[in-house]
Amino acid sequence: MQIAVTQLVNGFVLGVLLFLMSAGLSLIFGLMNVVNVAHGSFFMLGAFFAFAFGELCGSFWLGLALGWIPAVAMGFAMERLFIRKLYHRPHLDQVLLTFGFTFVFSDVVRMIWGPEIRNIPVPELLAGAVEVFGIIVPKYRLFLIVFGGLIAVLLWLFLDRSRVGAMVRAGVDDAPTAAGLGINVHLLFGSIYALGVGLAALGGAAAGPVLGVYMGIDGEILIPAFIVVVIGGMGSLRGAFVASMLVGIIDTLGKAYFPDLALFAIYLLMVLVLLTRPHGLFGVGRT
Amino acid sequence: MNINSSFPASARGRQLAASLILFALAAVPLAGDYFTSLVAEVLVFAIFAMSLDLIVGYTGLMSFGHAAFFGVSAYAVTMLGVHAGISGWWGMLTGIGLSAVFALIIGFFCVRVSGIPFLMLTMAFSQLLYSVAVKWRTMTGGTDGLPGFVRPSFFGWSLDDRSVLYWLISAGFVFTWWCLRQLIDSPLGSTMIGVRENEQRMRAIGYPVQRIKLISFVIAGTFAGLGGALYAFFNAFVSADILHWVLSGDAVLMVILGGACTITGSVIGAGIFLMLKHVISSHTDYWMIWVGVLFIACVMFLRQGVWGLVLERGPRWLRSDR
Amino acid sequence: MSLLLRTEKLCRSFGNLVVTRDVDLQVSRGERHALIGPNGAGKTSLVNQLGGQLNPSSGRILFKERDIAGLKAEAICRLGIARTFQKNNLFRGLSVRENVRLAVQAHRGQPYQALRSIQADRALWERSDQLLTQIGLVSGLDRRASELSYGEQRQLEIAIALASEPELLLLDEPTSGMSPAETDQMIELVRSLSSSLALLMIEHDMKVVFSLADRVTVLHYGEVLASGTPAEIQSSARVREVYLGGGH
Repeated sequence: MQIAVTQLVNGFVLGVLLFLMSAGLSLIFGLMNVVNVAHGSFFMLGAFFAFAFGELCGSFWLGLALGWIPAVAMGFAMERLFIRKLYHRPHLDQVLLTFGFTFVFSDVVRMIWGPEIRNIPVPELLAGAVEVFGIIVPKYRLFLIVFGGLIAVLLWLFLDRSRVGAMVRAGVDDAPTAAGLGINVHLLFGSIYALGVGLAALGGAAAGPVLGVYMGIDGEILIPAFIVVVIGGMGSLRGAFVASMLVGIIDTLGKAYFPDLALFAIYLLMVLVLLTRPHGLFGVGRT
Repeated sequence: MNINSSFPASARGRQLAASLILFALAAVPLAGDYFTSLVAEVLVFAIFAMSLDLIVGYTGLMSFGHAAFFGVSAYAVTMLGVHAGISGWWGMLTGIGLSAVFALIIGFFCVRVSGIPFLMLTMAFSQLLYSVAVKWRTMTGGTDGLPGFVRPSFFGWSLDDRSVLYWLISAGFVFTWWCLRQLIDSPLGSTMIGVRENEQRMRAIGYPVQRIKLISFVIAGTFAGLGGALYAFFNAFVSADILHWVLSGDAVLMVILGGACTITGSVIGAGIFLMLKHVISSHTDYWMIWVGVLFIACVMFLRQGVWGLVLERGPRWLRSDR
Repeated sequence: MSLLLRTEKLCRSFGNLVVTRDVDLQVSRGERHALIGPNGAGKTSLVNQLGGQLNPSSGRILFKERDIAGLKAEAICRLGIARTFQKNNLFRGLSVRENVRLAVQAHRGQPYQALRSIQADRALWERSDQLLTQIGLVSGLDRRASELSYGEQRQLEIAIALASEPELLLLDEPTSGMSPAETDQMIELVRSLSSSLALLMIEHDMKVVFSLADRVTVLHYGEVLASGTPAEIQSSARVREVYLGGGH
């Protein structure tokens, strides 16, 4: 029972982290039709900046609170200066552009922090474990689940209830019409890109103590995020959430109980979904 | 999707390119072992890039998973050699065959979708193979890699001799070039170009578009397999990174940098990429940022690539009048 | 005398929007059949279902008594139906001759041949030139299709479709965007097409319809409002009230 719950908790943790990664990816694609290959880079940047701020201020919490800010700023600038120039081009050109940025970000990280693996220690408050209904659960993982869930709820409220959220949803649905209604689509696009990569950065920062902070994590986290977005459907936040949890749990349980098949389970799921419902389980029907 | 807004090369232009290249290839060993090795590496990756160009530049499919076929073949050669003592030549045949089979299986699923889902699916399959290679440490050496490959001999000459290895790789390169050239000029090649130009219209005039895409995918995968086998001969060492999507991305970069519109472009792209990597990394650790910047500039301002620019701005007779 | 094409209760809806409602359409061999109706009547959706670009929700499409509903476009073309598109759908980056040659190759050539150059197959090039002459394009054939004038592109559209040697040709607004002179040229072109070739054309230009059509079907909100000879349609009060009177 203990083992099963532990695995389930780990599954939820992975799911939550995947959600933070993929929510932004999905939003960016849904609104701007841009596949942000650099999304993993922002996850990595968030982790490194959180580490840096944490060291600087001597506090994990400040690191987490501040780590996403540089990433958001960079994202905003990147959209404004580069991506925006390519909106009239085929979407694959934008994919190539963001792909080019992965090279740049990779070396930037190396230049600033070097190639060594960094460590964000779990804060005092969340060290150790608690006992919940007789099961032992590490505190930090519990925190991650709650934290991620909170972000998910906030995001949902923002998109569903606020005016800005309504504009985003309009833009996701039909950008030219939204522009015709007077919505400042340029500002919207820039903001959503920044928000999307900010979420990834937040995910990277929060994942720091669990996944580690190292070069190469950008490439590693990107594929699972892509898988989630494909399964959940591009542009659907609900889809990203459901698919993240699904992938997180299947991957974790798979690794625990069927280690040889674990790899295949997720990729198989992705392949099946792409072949039967190419727009994902909740997708908005765009290719 | 039309990423070929540039002009294809005319027969004279191609003859010129061919003559120049053959001449250059013959002259390389005169420049010493280091340079010969460098060019050999460029040629191996040029084969990889040219094979990718068949699907990216000529059929209009953006794949981020081409490393799968390169890597599978490289692993086949190395693993058969290291674990079973099988000669590299049999390994090469096996490797190329395996690449073709994998391309058929993976391609069968991938051509059912297009655009972004196609990109993601190819990426995912490549990563799947990567994870298998990482997991299967005992056989593949995982990320640490598998050393100990013994290069076979070639009619009595040892392939450990840099020059001999270079000639073999050059032969492979010229063979790939020639085959792909023939293919592109053929009816089958024209159908691939048609698919790139207007998939819907191709269907409306009676072409089985999915089948054409799959054929293109398999041929491309097979030649990538040849490249991978030659890579195994060249490097005598292989690690899981050979299957990572980053390598697929490198290939895409080579194709776009050089110019997706022609095969020559991919060769030039491979040359530029590797030269940059080697030259810059001999001065500083940070070569990736330069490649990244160059690629971003290329996507934004020089979408037709270096060779594409040459064809556009160069003398008229370089361009096709077909 | 069997009908070349007939649809039985053809329906297509997108969610709650019904674009094709119980359409029974008949086209005989060699017939010139015009499909008219206000914008949004579902004409292009209907033609898309006949051409394989859209799957019907229900109903049958019988071409030479064989149900082709839901077949892929390439299969339908091979059975003998070709089409043009309302918005020029050419191979813009390829030369005019190559545009047609590709279509000829699909029908008469060997598309899976990988060893010979396409230049070597003279027969396909000659056939392409023949078709281009037939539709009135004789010079500048090595230009890219994108360099042609709009009217010339419309002509090329037809050449490509003819290359498939169809028994039924679907023309989607062949004169759309054309000047009166160009329209007259197009009328002549269509008139000159082989009498064994059946035509189903979507048209808004009544002059074209009444000079070319043997039969006319009027669509309204996805349904067949009326079907008959041009004279019958013109004199139909219902049609006048709904469509012709409105002025098109």
